[in-house]
Amino acid sequence: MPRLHAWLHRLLGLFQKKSRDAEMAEEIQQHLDLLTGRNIAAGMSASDARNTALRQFGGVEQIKETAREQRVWMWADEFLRDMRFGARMLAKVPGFTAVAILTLALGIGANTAIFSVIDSVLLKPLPYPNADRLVVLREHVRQPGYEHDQEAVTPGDFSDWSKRNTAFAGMAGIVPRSFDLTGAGPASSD
Amino acid sequence: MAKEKPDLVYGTLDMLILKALQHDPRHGLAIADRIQQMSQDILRVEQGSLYPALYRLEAQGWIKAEWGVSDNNRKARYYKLTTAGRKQLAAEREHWSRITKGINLVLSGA
Repeated sequence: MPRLHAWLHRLLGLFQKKSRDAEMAEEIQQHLDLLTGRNIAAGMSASDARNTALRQFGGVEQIKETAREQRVWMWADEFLRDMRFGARMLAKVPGFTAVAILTLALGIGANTAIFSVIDSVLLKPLPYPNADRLVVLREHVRQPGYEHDQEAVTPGDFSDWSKRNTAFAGMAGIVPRSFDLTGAGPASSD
Repeated sequence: MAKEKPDLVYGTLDMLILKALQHDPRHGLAIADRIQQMSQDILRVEQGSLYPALYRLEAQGWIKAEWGVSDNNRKARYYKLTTAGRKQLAAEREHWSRITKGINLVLSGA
């Protein structure tokens, strides 16, 4: 669990960044004060004691930076900063921003439209019960040189198939026809 | 005073901090002092490197920090070993003794 604990601790640190920074600054300050006091007790002048304490401690700002990484989730912090920076830059060039947003909108819109069509035409199963058990039967002509090897089923064959069928729960024939629809009476133009 | 190389073996600082906190809560400087004293001055903790390590241990939940008042009436942040920290110390000790045993065997081999 230490992983999760550290993750949560740092996530929380993202929202308490200011107070944690202040706390760390205060803690390091206390440490330096203690060291300085100790150096004075050892006989150093006040300024010498302070400088020695700083040297003993090491690069304060650098250490703060390293320490901060342990307390705050740095990449998320940087990510937020990048987002804010990006938003500001976009606000500065509204023309470019508008074109970019329009391009994205059209791209996403076109993609969505095409996908909806493909989804309903090709991907979605047919709206029948047990659509996965539905098949199309055709006649297949195995004559060499015969061009249209997938032929319509003749009525005689269909009636034979229906009578001797053992493989399918049921069979039905369809006849594709095309015709024109008009209103009552002959077509007229206004 | 002859000084050893100040940089500790990588990763051992965490273990030494946990050990220094085994009995009493301490603030940063006191932890550095404690490690130096326990090692009979052989080990000196670089004061600054203490804090990244302390915050790392705190983030793992092995130590807990609280503001308190030091001996000379100053405000200081005191670190305390948690139960998870105690377990971690035991685990690291076990790991360390295995490693050093191995290294010693290599070094003392003919």
